[in-house]
Amino acid sequence: MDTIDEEAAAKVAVDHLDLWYGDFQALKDISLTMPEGKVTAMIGPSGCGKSTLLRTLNRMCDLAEAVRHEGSVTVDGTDVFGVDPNELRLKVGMVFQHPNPFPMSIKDNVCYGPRRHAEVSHADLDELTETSLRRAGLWDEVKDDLSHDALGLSGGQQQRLCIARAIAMGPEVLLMDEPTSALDPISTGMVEELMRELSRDHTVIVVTHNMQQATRVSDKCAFFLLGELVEAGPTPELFAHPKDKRTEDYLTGRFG
Amino acid sequence: MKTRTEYTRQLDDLSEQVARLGVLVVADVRASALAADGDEGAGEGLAASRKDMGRLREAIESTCMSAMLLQQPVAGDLRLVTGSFRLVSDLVRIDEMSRDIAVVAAEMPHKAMRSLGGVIPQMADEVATMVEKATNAFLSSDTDEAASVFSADDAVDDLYDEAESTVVRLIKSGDVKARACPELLMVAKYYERMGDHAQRIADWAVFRDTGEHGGAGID
Repeated sequence: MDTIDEEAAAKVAVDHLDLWYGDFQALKDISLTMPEGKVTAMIGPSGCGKSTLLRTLNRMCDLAEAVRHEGSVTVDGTDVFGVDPNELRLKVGMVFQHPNPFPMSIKDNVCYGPRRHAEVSHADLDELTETSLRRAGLWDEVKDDLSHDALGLSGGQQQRLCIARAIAMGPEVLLMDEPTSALDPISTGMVEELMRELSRDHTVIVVTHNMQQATRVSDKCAFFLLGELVEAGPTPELFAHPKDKRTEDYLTGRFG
Repeated sequence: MKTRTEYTRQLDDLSEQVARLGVLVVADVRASALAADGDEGAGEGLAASRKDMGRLREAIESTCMSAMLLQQPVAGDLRLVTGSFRLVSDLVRIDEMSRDIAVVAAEMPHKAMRSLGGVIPQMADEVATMVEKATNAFLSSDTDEAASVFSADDAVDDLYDEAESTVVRLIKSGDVKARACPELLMVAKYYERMGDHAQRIADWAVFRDTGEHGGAGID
């Protein structure tokens, strides 16, 4: 069976991370690495902390009031809590559960980030638009009218546009929070294909409720329960031979 | 845009691996007839192919397990994966019997097999063709080709009956040493069993196409 090299370089490393929302501890002593150029999936029931951890990776949690944390998160060895969040997010992009294109044209959506962060010529923007939309698998469907209102696209197209918008900034890490839960099976298949494709150049970290999706797209998988990381490992191993009974019970759908 | 390209590649790999195993097994069946006729090189070749065969079997089973575990195949894909997982046992069993024939032949008096006339090469040829057709039928979901395998098994059974009658006659006549006769019959029986396994492969071909499994060749 295909496996990943456990010694593959860690692009993102979480080390003994605890996080509290007020008095509630959402993450408990989490230590986990996400290998470079691979897809890491985080699975677990609602409220297990997987989305909190994902959002912490580009500092969408710790800046909120009443949130405190201990431990470290590093990207390429640099502690994310020690850098400017805007700078961090150039390197760590995010795709959300529900497609959230800006109310502007397709092209303006893709160019939104580059226009604000760099001096880019019109020609370069054209090229960047095409490259990003091609990589997001959307180019052929929208190339004839890039001035089309992004809100007029279908849900699956909007989500791929959001992926194009994220990769236009050239992030090294791409976070995806249940990116297909609002999509039909065909669009889901397209986004899953993209995750595999994008992992060639980006480190992809995805939160999903769909365990079958985790098996299809991820190289490494981590199972969370009640704020704890129960188990993590190469996806084929985790699904074939989970070491912890709680993992096996969750994967097989047995409770109680 | 295309979807599930990695899964599609995995299924393509599986078909290619099964095809490769089929080709190797057919070659080994043909080699067993040469070994039975005293060709030492053919016997050595058969002995040497054991490890390759084991590795290929493991690779096929691993691909099947991986596809079932990680890709959740359904419909025709599920039948390809489960059918491959099952037929690989039949192919490998046929191959093991080819090797057993070479071992038995090596311990028999030189050219003793010829006392059965041309029955052994004929049986080997029939069985090799059956395995070839059954594997192709599975890979192309061709029930017509699978049906031709079922009918070919009758010819193999007839050849076995012929070999059995010849052995009985030889024992009675004392033309060859009676000691060699059980081995002569054993070799003919190996080919007859191979024909049954080829039928089972053909049955997996029908299963792949229709979802129905008839249980051919199962005692």
